[in-house]
Amino acid sequence: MFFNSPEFLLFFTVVTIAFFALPHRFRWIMLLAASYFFYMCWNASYGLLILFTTVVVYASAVLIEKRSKGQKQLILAAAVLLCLGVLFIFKYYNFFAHSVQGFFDLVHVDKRMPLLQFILPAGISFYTFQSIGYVVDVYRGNRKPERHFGILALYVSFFPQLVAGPIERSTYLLPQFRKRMTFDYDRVTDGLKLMAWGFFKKLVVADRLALYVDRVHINPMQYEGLPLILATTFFAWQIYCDFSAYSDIAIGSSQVLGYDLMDNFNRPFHAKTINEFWSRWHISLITWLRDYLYIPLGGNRVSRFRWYVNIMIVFTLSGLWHGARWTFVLWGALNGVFIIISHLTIKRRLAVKDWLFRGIERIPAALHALAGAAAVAAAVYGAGSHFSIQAGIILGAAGCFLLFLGFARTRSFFPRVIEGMKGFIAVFITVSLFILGAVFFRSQSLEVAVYYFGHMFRNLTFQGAAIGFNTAEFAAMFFVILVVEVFHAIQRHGSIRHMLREKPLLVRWALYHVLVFGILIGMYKTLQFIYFQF
Amino acid sequence: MRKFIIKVIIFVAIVFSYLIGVVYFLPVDRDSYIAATVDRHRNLERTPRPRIILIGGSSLAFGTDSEMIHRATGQNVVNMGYHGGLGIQFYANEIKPYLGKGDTVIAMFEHQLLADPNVGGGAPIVEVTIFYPRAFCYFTPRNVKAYFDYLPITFQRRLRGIFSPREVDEHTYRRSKFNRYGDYLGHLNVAPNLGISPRIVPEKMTDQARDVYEGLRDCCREKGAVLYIAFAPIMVEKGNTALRRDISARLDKLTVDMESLGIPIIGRAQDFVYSEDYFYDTIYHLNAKGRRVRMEALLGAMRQYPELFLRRR
Repeated sequence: MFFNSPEFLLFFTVVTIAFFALPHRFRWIMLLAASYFFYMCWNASYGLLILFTTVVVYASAVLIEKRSKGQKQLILAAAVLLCLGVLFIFKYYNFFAHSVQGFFDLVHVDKRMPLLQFILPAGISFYTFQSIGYVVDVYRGNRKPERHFGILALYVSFFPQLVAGPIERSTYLLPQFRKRMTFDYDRVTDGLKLMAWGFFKKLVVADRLALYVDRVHINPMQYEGLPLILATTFFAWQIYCDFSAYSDIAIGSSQVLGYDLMDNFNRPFHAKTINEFWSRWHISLITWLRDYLYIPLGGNRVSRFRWYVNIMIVFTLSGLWHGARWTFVLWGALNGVFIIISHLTIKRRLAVKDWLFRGIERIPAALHALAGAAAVAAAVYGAGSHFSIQAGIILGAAGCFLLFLGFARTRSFFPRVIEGMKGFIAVFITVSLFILGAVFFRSQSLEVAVYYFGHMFRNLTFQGAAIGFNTAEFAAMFFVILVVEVFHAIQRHGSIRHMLREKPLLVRWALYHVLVFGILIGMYKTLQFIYFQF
Repeated sequence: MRKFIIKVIIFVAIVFSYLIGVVYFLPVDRDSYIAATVDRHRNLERTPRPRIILIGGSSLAFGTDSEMIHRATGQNVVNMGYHGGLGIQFYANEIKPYLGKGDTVIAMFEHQLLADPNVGGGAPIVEVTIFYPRAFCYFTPRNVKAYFDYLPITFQRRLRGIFSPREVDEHTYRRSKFNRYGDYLGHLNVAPNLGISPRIVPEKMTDQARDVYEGLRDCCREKGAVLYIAFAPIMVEKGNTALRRDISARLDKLTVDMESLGIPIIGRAQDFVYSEDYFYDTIYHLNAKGRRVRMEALLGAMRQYPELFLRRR
């Protein structure tokens, strides 16, 4: 049962009605039953896996309390090993076996590694990390062990965030299950609005971009140039809209029931540095890794070398967390490298930026205008004869921008334009780095990724960029990205849901219907959420 | 909470009103391919017994010469095959109310449909209700699920149809190009324009497909009709021996799986694997030559069941 299916809407409606109809003392039972039902819809036997993890963390947390430090450490280690053991067997064993087999083949050892025939249980990485987090919290004394097995089982299996997060903290979510929830009109409608926005991002944006991305990735080696660049760019937005949509639906549906989940995304494509990007992307995982791995490793309170090693460990493991494939590992490692380079070069980058923009500020308006006019003229007369149409378009755009700069130079808003340019360039570089990394994320093998990097900047022409999509379909892909970014731009000024509350009923309803109509008219076909496989 | 519930009901009602309004109340093209469902049900209602009812997807419409079957067997023929997107559940459901003693049903589902867990159908399951609202009566929960899954897609198509009506060319699929039995004739004298898609041939049918066969088998038994299985045609390129070998092996396993249903099987699946010379536009749609060859093979295979032939040659 996927969030984007009619079955989920029916399920959620029934659960919500039952939740508010039942007295408080029975609600956890209903939610627990609903959560197990939700999970077991994929594969009934995998309900046992969650149960096993729950029993392990329940027992270890209870045992940890009032033990000596050594015993506590031993119990914690056992609990973590058991949880990760399950994760390893179901998610990583075959990857490990394949890798070992590859090594055996390389050194000509005639030994076959046995493989396991499992279907990866949905969301196993999410609930395993959430469960480990709980035991560590108890070990650290951040919270008391939960004595009510049912409540803990609900914490591990709470259906909105069970299969794709956010990875919650026991200190935040667990106490909420004991609170008496009442029906709050504003909270419920806010939750529904967030869910609707999530459905829009998933059904209209992510699934539409997936058409292009999937078409290229069925056989990437038949493309070069713009289709490869567009596919990886679209993939960056696809995965963002897919995953953040899941988080929105999870957070929204929990909110309807009265529970708050942590934010998982905060407009990551508006980040100006790669560090900032990772503080806005998959926040629950990154903060989990920070609190339960990076800080125990020493964080940044160690030598510079150890600090960089810690960063590499965290990001490489975050890559591996996403999937049992070398491409994911490299994706994680590459992001670690980006962060380290960002730290190493920060002073020089700032100096170059200051020098560059001070230079721009000093150029007289007339010179801007002159250069702009020359570029536009060259584009108009030279495109198609002296250089390609593509180069002409780029030159023309640059010329127009210089003309604008020349005009702005004479106005009082020039400093704001310069600030805007600084911000835009920073965002462009940050997002481009993420997009480059996304090549590893989407590629099925290292061979494909290598091909991708080797061919994405070759033969850069607009011809054939639509790869068989008609103009309307192709334009729709850019349009939906634009819609998301316009929403994000509005969100910079505050929560859209809160802004809507101030509007008259008719305006609000008109906007809600525009959103629903947009979903109906824009959805292509429902695809599975990408993060379910993690 | 009452205020909230009232608002939700009003909101959902408005959404459904434009959804249903666009899907069902915008003008329709009465000669569209899917509108042929009306003629098929009329045939089913009016064709006297003894009769052979053929059910399946579009391969049946494109690759069947019912006149040949009629002449060879002496039985009336109703060809119900016309769209793979309706799903095998719907094919079975739509004939069940019309079955009776003297009916012979031959199910020829495309191999791909036996591998597809979505037996309840795709977008055509909604479109068929626009032309033939009685189709709702045949819906099982699987069809209802498919209906709601594909309602928004149909909504989009209908809106797109208003803003950018496609020009009808003579060779596109049209209702008027079916003959009185339900065979499609529009492609017979048209140059092939073959698009090759992946061949999906399961070694074993899905549990849902098995349910459909078993349900139909039981219904036929109950109503005094007889059910047979035959195989849909499929394309394998002439030179592609590896694919032919793979598909042959799969078809052998699929046949073993189908034999376990206890339904008589007409012919061998291998006999209906043809090269690209015999196909029109997809890997399932036979051209005139393919249609003739297939009919000869099918009728030859049907001779293993003499009870199908009322008129001896």
